[in-house]
Amino acid sequence: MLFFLMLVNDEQERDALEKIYEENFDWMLKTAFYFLKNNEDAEDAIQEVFVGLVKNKTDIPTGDEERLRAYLFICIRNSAFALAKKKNYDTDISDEFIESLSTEEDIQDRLIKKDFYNEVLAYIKTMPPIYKDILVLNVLYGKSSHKIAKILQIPKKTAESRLTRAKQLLNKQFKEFDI
Amino acid sequence: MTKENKTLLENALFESTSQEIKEIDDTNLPDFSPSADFKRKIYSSHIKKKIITPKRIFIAIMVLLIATIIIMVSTSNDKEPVYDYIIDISNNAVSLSVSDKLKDATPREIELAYSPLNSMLNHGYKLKSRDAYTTEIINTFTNEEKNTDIELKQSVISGITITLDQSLEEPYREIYIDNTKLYLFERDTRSVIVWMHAEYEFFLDYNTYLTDWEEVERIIRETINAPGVPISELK
Repeated sequence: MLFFLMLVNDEQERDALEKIYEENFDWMLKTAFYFLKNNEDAEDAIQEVFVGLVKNKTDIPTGDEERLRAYLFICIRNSAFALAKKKNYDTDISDEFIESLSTEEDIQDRLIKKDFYNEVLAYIKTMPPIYKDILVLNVLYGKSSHKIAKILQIPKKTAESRLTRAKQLLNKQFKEFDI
Repeated sequence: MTKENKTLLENALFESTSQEIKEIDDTNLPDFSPSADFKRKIYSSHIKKKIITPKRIFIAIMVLLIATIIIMVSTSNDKEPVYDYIIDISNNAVSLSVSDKLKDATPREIELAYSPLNSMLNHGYKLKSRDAYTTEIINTFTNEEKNTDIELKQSVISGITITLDQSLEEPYREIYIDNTKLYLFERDTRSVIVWMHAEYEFFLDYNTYLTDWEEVERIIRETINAPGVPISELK
């Protein structure tokens, strides 16, 4: 058994966390490496993810492997971004850069206007990750800004402002949503 | 937002994330090589973060403190006499050999050392020492041929001789001769034992029935200070 799981008292929860680790560790680490381009940092990022999972074990989605993977992906990406910021890496994943990814031209280029769904999907792909992840946690997993702050290990104020900004971006693009 | 739009948004968010995962999964990362001891790193990091907290450190210190106190109390209760004794009874006197731990003992410590011994003597016990040094002394004392010389033998060991019934109120008296501290113990009504630094011991006999230590001290002084009789020769 993994040692950090010893702190989880409930046997079922412990088994569930261990299963998550065993089944997802490889791709999680690879994903972290993708963002950080460094073995050691990738491992540190994953380490933080597992610490967060233990802290917020009740928030982990269950029952659907794909939804779980999406949830873990968001945790990894945010952990990687946080680590890069903490180490002051001169990387292309600063908030400013992430914001700048979303230019009108990009959006126009990538939008596929066959139908509304594809439009939404295309737009979401162009959204800055920090906003997209917040939306996924809020809309898809039903997490409040308070919970999101805990899951992503960021200040609550930051989570709130990002969520507000994400909704503004989405509403501005699609009047239909009004979220 | 309508339920239909909400479902649509959820699906779009989910698919977007899934596609990102797949893209990364399909990416070839030739230099990617996770370290073998990553599980250990997770463990150690987590231990630092979660297990070692101020509250737990405080509890651990308290537990150690309580355990130490319990051990100290139980040890003190079960404490055996510090000293090893050898007892030999002859001529209404008891010869005691106390291990060399008593060499530097104060008179009070000597008195305490004797306290349990006297109790045992009254019940007729004979104690044996645990160490070789005092075992050798036992052999000396139990050798019939050497019994006649027992008083001199005692003088070269770290020992004290006392009587079974002490008629004097005080068990000993300290006196100083030439800056040398001497302890006086009653042997019987007609003699005392002079014990010096647990190294020299000798008996002094008196023609007068002793009634108080002042008299004993006076005679000792006269004896030791006698011209031509150095202390070292008195043993």
